[in-house]
Amino acid sequence: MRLDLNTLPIIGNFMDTTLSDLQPRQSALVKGFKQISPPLLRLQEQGVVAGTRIQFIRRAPLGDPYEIRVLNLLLTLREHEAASILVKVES
Amino acid sequence: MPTPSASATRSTTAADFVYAMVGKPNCGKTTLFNALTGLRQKVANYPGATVECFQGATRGHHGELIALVDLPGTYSLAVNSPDEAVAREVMLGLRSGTPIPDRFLVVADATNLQNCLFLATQAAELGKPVILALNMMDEAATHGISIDTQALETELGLTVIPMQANRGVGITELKIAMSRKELPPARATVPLPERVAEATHALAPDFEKLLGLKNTPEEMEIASNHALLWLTDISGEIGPTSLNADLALKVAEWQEKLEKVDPLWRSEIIAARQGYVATLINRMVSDQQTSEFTITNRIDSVLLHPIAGWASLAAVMFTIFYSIFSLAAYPMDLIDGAFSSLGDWVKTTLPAGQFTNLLADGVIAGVGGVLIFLPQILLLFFFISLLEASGYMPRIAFMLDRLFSSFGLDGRAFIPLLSSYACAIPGIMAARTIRSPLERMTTIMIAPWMSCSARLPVYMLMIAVIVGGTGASAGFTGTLIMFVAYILGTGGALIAALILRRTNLKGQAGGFTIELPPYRWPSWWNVLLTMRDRAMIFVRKAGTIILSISILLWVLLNYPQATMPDGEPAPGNVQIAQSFAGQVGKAMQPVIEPLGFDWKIGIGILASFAAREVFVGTMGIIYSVESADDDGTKPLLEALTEERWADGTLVFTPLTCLSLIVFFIFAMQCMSTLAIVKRETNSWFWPLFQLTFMTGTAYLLSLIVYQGGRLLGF
Repeated sequence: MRLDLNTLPIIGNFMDTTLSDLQPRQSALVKGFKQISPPLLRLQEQGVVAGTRIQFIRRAPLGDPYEIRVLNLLLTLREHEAASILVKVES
Repeated sequence: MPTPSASATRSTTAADFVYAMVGKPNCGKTTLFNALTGLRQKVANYPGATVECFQGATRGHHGELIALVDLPGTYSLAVNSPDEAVAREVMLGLRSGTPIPDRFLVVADATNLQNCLFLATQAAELGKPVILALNMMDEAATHGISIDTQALETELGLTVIPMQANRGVGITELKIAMSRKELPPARATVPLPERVAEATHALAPDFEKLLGLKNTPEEMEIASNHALLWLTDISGEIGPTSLNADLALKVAEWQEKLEKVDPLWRSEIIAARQGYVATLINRMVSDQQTSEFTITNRIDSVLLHPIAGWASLAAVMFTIFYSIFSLAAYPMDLIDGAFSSLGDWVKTTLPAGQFTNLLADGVIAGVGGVLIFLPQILLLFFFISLLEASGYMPRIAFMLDRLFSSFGLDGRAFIPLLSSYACAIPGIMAARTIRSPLERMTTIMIAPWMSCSARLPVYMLMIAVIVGGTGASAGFTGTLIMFVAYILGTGGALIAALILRRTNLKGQAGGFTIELPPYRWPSWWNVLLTMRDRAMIFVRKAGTIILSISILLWVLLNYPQATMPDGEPAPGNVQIAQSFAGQVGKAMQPVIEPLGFDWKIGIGILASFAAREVFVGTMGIIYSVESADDDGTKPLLEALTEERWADGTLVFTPLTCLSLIVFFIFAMQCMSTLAIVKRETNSWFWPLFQLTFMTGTAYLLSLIVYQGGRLLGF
């Protein structure tokens, strides 16, 4: 339930690790968004904002969508959205 | 400080206080609403692009009348779908016909306070008193979360009530707080990005006028907070708002300006609020450990497993259909028996005559033939509410989203489509939660192809004829035919969706961002309330539409009255053949004979365009009229299996029964559904399109089944 306020949000369109590159059970910090769409805004309202820790939990049995954990929520999103969320993998 | 626009309109409601209830999905809002209002609740619908809002009332600590308007669960007051637009208008008191809320009751989940405070701070900014029901305190305690409620009250000007709604803990305290005469207005000071603040300040004077606020710094702050709400609307996709054209234009101009300077401005507003909420959480919440979802995780590793997950889903679905098919047979036989004895009793007790016949063969046979399906409807809604309350429903959507998206739909369409197995009407209304307008429209178009419970009576009757028995004895074959019928309807619907999304409803896919709540034991009280609501809708339909159709049909079947050459009344079969209904049925026969249907089935089909379940009642009426000269009423099933064509061959061969089932799977035979589609799409084109395209498909497929079967020698 902690948000690291010292992490600066990075917003822009460049090549970087995105949520869709993560493996199941891997954790990462959200850095920013490549673009904005209604589903991405919804995810931000649900807590997926820069500086938040997220955990990739699993893919749906058919490969898409994904299940992630944010704060104390289990959320779903499609690969299309996941590819727009920039993350920094935690070692 | 007066609350905006409250004084002008308060007189329209008798309640002492009106609360709008908001909260994120899965925070226990429905449980709390049910605990507060019990049986004193009703569903309110809003024509146009609409949502279902539940309205209810409760008594305060000293007998004050407190009205509650329960809004659909949401994470934010920003509007992303038509659904949310209406909910927000209701919340702000901008919808006529709804009591105007003067206070807000925000329900929060203590284990997820950060998500809940996002919404709570939005509500707190609007200048009205806010009570925060901090639900699930027990779970939070188990997770080692402690919350400084005092600091939360001071910071946001809220009244915080810790509670466990599912066990009734905190309800009394909540009622005491809700009935307090004086509650201070809440507040929140979210730092906005500079350009956005500029926009809301520029719009504030207009909103001050709109809301009837005063030109004081505090009230101007409230006005600019209202401006922020409208500013963050996703414009273009939202229907007409209650803002006047001038103001709507001004808001749109600011949106454009912000978009030009910074395309990510919406994102920044959300980030600012999340940051503000995070500082509150850092100050007021301490958690020793984060919850690990141990149990949920363990269940999910099975239920969402690539193999075990599908097996479980198939098992759950099969159990539901099997229960509906066989378990319901026992109460159904009882109801059937009761109505037949009632009919016989009426015939033997009352003096013989047309009135007695109308009562026994028209009213009792017609309504009884429909009410008999009440146990199935109750069972279906029992299962649907179990799936919803336990948390499995969104997981089914999660599993199926990939599949659905390849048909141009959304995993969320699963819930409307599944509800449509009960009835297309709640299903079509549930489609409002789908964010993308194209996917929503597609879902509405195909929902009536999910086999609704009104078709069940027809399937059951036809299956009984095929296998030669009812209920449990029909066993495996019956269940199999039923299962295939459901799969045919569903498959047809998906193919239709694919076609629609490539033709009439072409466009980009939306997202699939839902929450998978932790698994919970369902609240039996909530399940019972849902079953009661749906049963009432069904019984009311049986009591009104179906009763009138039954009487009308009886008249059409009995007049003009035939007499034999010797002046005696004609036997039943002669009477029906030359009645008004018989004449129409016979005129139809050339059209439906290629499908294997005779003119009596034709009458049934015609009548079932009002509502599908009428078919069975109609057959009941036709055959009980026909056998009226016998001593008693022959069971309908027996009558059907003995029915013959003029050439002596059986009418209800297995092939005809299958053809009839196929016809009922695909034909659009429900006036109520067409009416709801007209209302939801706000156009005549879509319901008429649906009527022709569905019924055309039905005719074609029945023709293929019957003629194909004949060619194959059946």
